[in-house]
Amino acid sequence: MEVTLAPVRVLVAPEAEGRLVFAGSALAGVLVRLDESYGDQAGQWFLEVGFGRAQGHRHPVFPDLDAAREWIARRLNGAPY
Amino acid sequence: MSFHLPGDVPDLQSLQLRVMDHSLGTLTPVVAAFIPHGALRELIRRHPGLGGVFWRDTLIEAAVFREWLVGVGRRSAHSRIAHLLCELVVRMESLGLDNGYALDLPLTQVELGDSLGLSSVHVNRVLQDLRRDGLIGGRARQMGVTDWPGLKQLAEFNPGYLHLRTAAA
Repeated sequence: MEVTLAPVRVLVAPEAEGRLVFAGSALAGVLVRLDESYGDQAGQWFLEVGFGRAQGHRHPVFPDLDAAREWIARRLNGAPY
Repeated sequence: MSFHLPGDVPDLQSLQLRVMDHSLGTLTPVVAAFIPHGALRELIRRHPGLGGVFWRDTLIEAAVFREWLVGVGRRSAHSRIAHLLCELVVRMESLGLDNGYALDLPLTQVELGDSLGLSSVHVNRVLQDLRRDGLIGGRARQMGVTDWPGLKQLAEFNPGYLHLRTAAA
């Protein structure tokens, strides 16, 4: 299943750059870019919420969007929880 | 997870349980004393009241665990972090180690999150919110509570489970 990303603004405080994650035409999750206030994690991407198999007990943080997309695709394709 | 403060006996369990089902680590340099089980048993035999004291200690520890379970299961991230800060302030005060609601927390946001079932990102956001609302001040490892009634209210903190007799409690 193809995982695609669409830009969106997300109302975390303060408002942040984000991506809607689609698996085909279905919304699979929301990623948020961490800003400078997150110290070492600044610039990384946080899985704010994942749906279905993309939901994580631990919200993962990814170094870039490719890594996020790969992880979500793996989960949607049946990688264990 | 649990946090132990100076003077705590963090492993009374092993006096009665053959297998240690937990581990202990230090967040700061500490001075630790190891009491052989034989010596402790002999002490309790000679002074039976001490057995009651140790029993009481483990019961209070269990009460703290219950409170933490409620926190992880039912409290919002804001309330959970506020509750931990309130608990630490009151416990430090009971030891005479408080410094006007200052908290010298040797914890990273990852460790804080692990102890409360939160991601480090959520911990970061909540701490920013608490600062913005004037409840806490200072930086990461040297926080201070700037609005004690407000923090207690957010946490719905009732220190009864700590079974202490101190001013903040």
